[in-house]
Amino acid sequence: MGKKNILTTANIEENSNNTKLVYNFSSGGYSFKDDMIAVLSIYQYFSIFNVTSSYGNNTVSYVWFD
Amino acid sequence: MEYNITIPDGYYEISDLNAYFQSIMIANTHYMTNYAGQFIYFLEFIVNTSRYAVQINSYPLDTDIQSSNGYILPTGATWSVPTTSTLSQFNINTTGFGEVFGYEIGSYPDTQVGSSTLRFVSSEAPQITPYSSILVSCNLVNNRAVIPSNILTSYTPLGASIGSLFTFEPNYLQFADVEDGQYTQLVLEFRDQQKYCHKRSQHVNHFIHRNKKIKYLNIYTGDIFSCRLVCGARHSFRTPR
Repeated sequence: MGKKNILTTANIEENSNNTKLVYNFSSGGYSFKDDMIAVLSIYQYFSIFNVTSSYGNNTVSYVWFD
Repeated sequence: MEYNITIPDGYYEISDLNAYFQSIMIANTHYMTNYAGQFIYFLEFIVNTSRYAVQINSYPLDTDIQSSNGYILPTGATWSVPTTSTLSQFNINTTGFGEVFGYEIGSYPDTQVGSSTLRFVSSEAPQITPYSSILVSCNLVNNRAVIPSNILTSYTPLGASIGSLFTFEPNYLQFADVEDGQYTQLVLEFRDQQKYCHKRSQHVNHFIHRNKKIKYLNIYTGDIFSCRLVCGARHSFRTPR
C-alpha cells in the first residue's frame, strides 16, 4: 500500500501568495525508487482574485464632461 | 478630461466593478442628484444576461436635460454642465480589462458628441475570471509527456463561491511517476491556467489540457487548507491481470 502524506496551511511557504507547500522529509531525506504519486484530495478556501495588477486587468479610465 | 482608475486587487463581479467605478465618480463629484436626492450617473456598466455580455451605457447631459429633470450638481463639484449635449466615455486601455468585459481596446462611445443614450455590448464573451483551472506541480514528478514535466494534476473550482471551502477529490487517482532519487523536500505549487502559453511548448500543453493553452505565471490561489497525497511503489498501484 502507498504512504499517505497530508500537507496543511502549516506547510505554506512565506511570500508565496499561499501557493507553495513545502514538506521536509525527516532524517535528512527520503529515497524514491520506482514510485508513483497522486493527489487524494485538496481542500481550499476559494479566494482567488480575478482582478489584479499581475493579470494586467485592473486599470481603466473615463472621460468626463469637463 | 480623462480620469484613471486603478482597481485594488480582489475578486469582483460586474456589479462590484460598477459599484467601485461609481464610488470613484462620487469621489470626483462626477454625478448629479435629482429632486428626490437620488444619485444620477451618466456612465455605467451592467450585465446583459440575454446577450451574455457586459453593457456599457453612456447618457448625454446638457443644460436642457439638467433643467427638465431637475438635476443638481453635487456640493464641491469642479465641473459645470455642458451647454451642448455631451457624452462621457469609458476607456478600455488594456487587453486584460478588455477580456474581463469582452471589449476591444478603445473608447465607448468613441466620441463625446451625441444627444442620445448610447449602449454598447461585449463583442466577445466576457471572462470575469481569467483562470479556469488550477495546476498542481510537484518537485518529485517527472512526466516526460508534458512540459513542464512536474505537473501532478489539475482541478477546477467548479461551483465554488468566493470565500467558500472548495474540495477536490478525484474519482480515480491520477498517478504520476516519481523521478528516482534522494529528496529532502516535497514541494507542491498551485498555479493558475491562462489562455496564453509558452510558444515552445504549445503542442505539448495540449496533451494535458484540452485546447487550453497554459501560462505558468500570475500565481494566485487562496489558502490551501489541506492537500492529501498518496505515494508508493509502482507495482503496488497496478491492477493485477
